[in-house]
Amino acid sequence: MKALRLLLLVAVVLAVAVPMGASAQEKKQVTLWFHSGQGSERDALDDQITRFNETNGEYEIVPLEVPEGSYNDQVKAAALAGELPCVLDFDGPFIYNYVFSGDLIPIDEYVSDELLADVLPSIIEQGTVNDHLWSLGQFDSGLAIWANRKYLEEAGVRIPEGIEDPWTLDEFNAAMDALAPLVPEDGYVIDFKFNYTGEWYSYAFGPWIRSFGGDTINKETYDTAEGVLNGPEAVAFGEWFQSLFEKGYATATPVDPDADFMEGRVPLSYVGHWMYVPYKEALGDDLVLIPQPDFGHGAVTGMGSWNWGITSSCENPDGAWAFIEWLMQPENVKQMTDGNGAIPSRISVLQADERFAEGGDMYIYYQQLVGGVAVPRAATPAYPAIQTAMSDAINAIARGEDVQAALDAAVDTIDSYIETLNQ
Amino acid sequence: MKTLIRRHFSGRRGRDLLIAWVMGGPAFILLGLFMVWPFIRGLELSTTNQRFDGSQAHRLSPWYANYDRILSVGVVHLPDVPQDVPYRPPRAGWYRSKTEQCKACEAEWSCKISDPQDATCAEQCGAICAEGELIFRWRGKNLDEIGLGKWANYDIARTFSLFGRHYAVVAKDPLFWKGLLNNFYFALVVVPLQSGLALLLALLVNQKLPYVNVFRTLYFSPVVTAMVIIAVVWKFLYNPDFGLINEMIRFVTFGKVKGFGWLQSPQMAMPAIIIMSIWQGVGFQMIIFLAGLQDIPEDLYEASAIDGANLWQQFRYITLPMLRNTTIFVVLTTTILAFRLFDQVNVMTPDGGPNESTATMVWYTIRRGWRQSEVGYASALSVVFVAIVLIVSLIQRSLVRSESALD
Repeated sequence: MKALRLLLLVAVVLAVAVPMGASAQEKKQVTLWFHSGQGSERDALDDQITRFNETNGEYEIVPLEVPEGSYNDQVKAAALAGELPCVLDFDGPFIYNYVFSGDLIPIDEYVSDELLADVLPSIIEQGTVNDHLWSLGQFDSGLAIWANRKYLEEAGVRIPEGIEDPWTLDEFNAAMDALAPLVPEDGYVIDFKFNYTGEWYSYAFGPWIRSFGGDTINKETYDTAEGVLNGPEAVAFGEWFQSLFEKGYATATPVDPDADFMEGRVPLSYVGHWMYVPYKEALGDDLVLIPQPDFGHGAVTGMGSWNWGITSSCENPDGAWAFIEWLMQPENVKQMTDGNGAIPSRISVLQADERFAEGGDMYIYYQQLVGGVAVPRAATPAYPAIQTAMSDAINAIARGEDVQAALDAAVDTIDSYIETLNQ
Repeated sequence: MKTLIRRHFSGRRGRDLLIAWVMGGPAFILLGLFMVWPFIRGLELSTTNQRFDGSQAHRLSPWYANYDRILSVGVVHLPDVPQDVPYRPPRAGWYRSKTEQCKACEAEWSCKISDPQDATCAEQCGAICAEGELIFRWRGKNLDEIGLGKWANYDIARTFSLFGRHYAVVAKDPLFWKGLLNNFYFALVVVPLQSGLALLLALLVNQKLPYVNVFRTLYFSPVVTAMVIIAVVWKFLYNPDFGLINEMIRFVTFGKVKGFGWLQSPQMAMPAIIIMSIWQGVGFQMIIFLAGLQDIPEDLYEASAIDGANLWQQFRYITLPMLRNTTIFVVLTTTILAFRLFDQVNVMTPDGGPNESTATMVWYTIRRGWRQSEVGYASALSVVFVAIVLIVSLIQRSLVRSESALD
């Protein structure tokens, strides 16, 4: 009897609570997940969601912030559990894996030609798989070497004007040798951000391996990494990279590398656009961007960044698109990139931004992106394995392990993943 | 139905039975919901190629394909080491890894040791470079070139030499075996060391001294701190350049010892994790031992003192036997906790450490199942892991049982 009464109580509570919840929100709810990146990105997005919810009469965005470190893993787990949100933000290269698994729907039919014509080609390239467009982003990334001008001038190191005259391998090594005597005892020459985990190693050092003549996967067949990631060219990269650590020019165990660069203990910092704003604040006019060096097979850099797609389980794809379209409005793109220093994805916004104009602080990012230096990451559903393999291998090499063995292990990780993918 | 229940639970015995079920009920439900049912699901998943993407999951044929991959091992007799071991890795076979000193020598004479024509290099750096580690390059696709073609699906786990001949332990999934060995290494060191240290600490804080509670709290405080936080702090302590531990070593040895790359060298990484884990966990076992110590009646010690027993004899013939049940409990739980090693490894060496020297079973399962979304394979790994821990626990229990515990 008691149990029955309890059951009745629960039923009554539910009956009262559910319609109340529904009546309070007449607008259709659209769920959204985003990675908690830097503060400036979060603030901009929060503001844009709030303004969307205030102005849009039909839909309401319900956001959920997920930690960046395991963001992709959580998305995959949610996909299996059927718990994916409507609007999903994800890092560029994972799109192939998501499309392969059927997690996304194409957005071609929604995008107007007018919008498409104003979006950077690199963003469209990143979002296009199997001749369909699946995602759009507010910004593209920039990757090159931030430098402290004072150090370079003191050491007599040449500062390249643009992407036409990048450092060569010999010039890079000479710069290292010239800078080494100038750094204080608790400093080092170049910061490689070894405090990062996850995607950084593939994004940052994949391009350098390509510039040496290797690659992270066989780009003709996409079914193995054998011979490209552990071939003589990649090994040459690894041995050179390892020598930077052996000579003490770089450290694999930094405590606070951001501060090391900002407080002048380190003259060079290899990192992406997201450090521009704090670096600029710290160094002012001494901050200078060095384009990606040409290690023998042309200068190569990474591209692609976080972007937005609509999941296949979404009940309100129209609402999801309304929000993505809102994000792509020029003023919202501008608000975002002003804060995080990334390259605006809308050409009109980009052209109006002085930082990317000739003579601007980040002109080199723009040049790299439109000048063919920037290359998308490997377009393969095996990308998660490439991420793991690169992170392991680069860390092992920096620690001083045998280069060939480290790269062989990376190939094994990627190849065995491809094998299970096709099982 | 009602009468059946009434008949079953009537009388004194029946009431006891009812109470037993009611009292045990919540535990049975929770265990069933969160242990038994997931394990059954895991068994089922372990025979599939289930991934997080889910779309193309199907039962593998044969159904034990995952288990086959996990458990397949072999020992291979490797080709002899050639007279002149090349420094440039071959497609498959022996090569010598270049040490830091060797590379420095190369730079000094601007020569290449890997070039056999380079006489200067062989002369100047030959001896230094010959100290490099011998590595057997194992590439599945190139193995038939050296007559090992049938092992193409296997990878090398480790090499060893016996009577001057070189062998390799090969496995289809070498990381599993490395993780398993690391787990046993950790358990074999940690269980006796941590239990012994805990007993020692318990004896110390069992003294009737002023402020003894302060020490009890101090020793116990790491236990109540989250392991992840402790791991982050210790990662900084272990930093080779600026870490407190290396600073202390340099200070004590007047700079003679430069300190170690604690988490960066394959020999030191696991000991570093062991030290930190013992520091974190020892307080818990200390408290249990302390409870055991305080259960020992004071008159036993008084009687033995009258008989002329010294402190050591008291410890050996009163304290230890009286702590027997406590010790059994401590050793069993420490063993199981040791096999669960994951948090500190994942924070301090997220890639499994140098040469996978800190990779553990749980770490590896999470890497495959979570990071690479291979749920089916990870389920099979978990099943194997549970089986191994079960066997270890059963062996331990039977060893203890044979000497019949004191009540």
